[in-house]
Amino acid sequence: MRKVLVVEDEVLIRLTLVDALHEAGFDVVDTGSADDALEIMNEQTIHLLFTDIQLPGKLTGVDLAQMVAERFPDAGIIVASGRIRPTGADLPTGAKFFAKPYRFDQIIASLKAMSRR
Amino acid sequence: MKIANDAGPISSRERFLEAIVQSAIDYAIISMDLDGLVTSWNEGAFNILGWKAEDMIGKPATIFFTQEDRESGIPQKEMTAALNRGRGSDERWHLRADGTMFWASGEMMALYASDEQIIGFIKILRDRTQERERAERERLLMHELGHRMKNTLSVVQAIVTQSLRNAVSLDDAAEKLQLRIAAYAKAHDILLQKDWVSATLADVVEATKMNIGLDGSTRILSSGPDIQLGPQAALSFSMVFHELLTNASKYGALSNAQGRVEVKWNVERRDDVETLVACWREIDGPPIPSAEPDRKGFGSRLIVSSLQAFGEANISYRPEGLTLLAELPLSKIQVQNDLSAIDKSSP
Repeated sequence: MRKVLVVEDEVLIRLTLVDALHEAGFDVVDTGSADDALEIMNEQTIHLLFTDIQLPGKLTGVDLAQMVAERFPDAGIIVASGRIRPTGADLPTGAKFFAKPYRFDQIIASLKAMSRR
Repeated sequence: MKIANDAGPISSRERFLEAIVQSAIDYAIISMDLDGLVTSWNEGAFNILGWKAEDMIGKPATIFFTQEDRESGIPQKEMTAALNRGRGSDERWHLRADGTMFWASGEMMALYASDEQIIGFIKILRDRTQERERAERERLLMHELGHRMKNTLSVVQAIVTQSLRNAVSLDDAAEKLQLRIAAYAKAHDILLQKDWVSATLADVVEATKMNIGLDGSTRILSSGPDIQLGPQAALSFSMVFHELLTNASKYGALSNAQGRVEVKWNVERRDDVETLVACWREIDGPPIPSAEPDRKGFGSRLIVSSLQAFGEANISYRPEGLTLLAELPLSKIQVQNDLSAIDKSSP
């Protein structure tokens, strides 16, 4: 089963996305901070990442996306934000950006497509 | 007004014109000869730039340009524009005598003698620093509000999705949806009353009670010192108390005639950190038949996950009633955000 790491500090959004991912058959780990996400990455293999850009702490979701891409080169990555629209150069190759508010079904469809690559 | 090579009798018309120039104390009005040397310097120029007229007459007017602009030949370009087109307007940073910078909006014009010959230049400038800072604050505020609006729409989208997903009927979904959105809106109201800087924990509890018609209820006893919550914590706590109160009303201590809820909080030092220790305890409600009956329900997950974003939180389902204990460092629940920083920077 493909494992998705969900990093979103807005709890309502995170829980809703986690539920949708579970229903779609993904194995999900979730957290609200990039620091916790790094700990999870050190302990588990991540196949897919969904992360908000604005996160508590020093690291942004873009930083986290770069770290995941370096550690797991085949991982599919989605970043989202209501504030920042990153340029293609900011994101790892193949990563997708979604502006908030996004449709949960589109996130699921993109992660499914990424997991088939 | 100090004028270079000032000699000879002054006519009443010249005195009148000088009085006009000197009265324009919010405008620096500076004349220069064709070499860019100052020939007159009004009171407004002293007020805005700080140099006295007697120190400036005969000196290059380039002194109040930044070094970078001087090296780029900006003063000469302004004079060239005035010569070629009659005038040139510009907005840029300038220097005061004390070395501080200000944002100036100015215009450079060719100065004509009575025989239509160009004898120099006149520069008029205003200090627009405050206007520029205000415009920058407004830009940041609009940007932040745009972000906040999109984030709020995302949260509402999540509330709708969860309320529909977990509802037993359309009426149940409608009720859950309306009350959750209203609770979220009430938290916004409280924060807006304090310029989006903070809300007290007691205010959040009272607003949540009011939202589901339990304001004034003697069965909910809340007590604790004044605790200021940052915007994110206030929004989270509102949703947490909403879920707790709704659950208590439907299934817990407030669902029978004699049950009650105690909400107590205090500040204690935990590992040398000032920590909010809060406890929600349901008493004399219907006995809970088994431990952890609803731990995986959305409401319980929302409560625990919301609080764990700030520290430790645990729900226990004792037979005598639900208990929630949270230990949250003050430094985490009192974090400010970008918007309140913008508000604080306002004059």
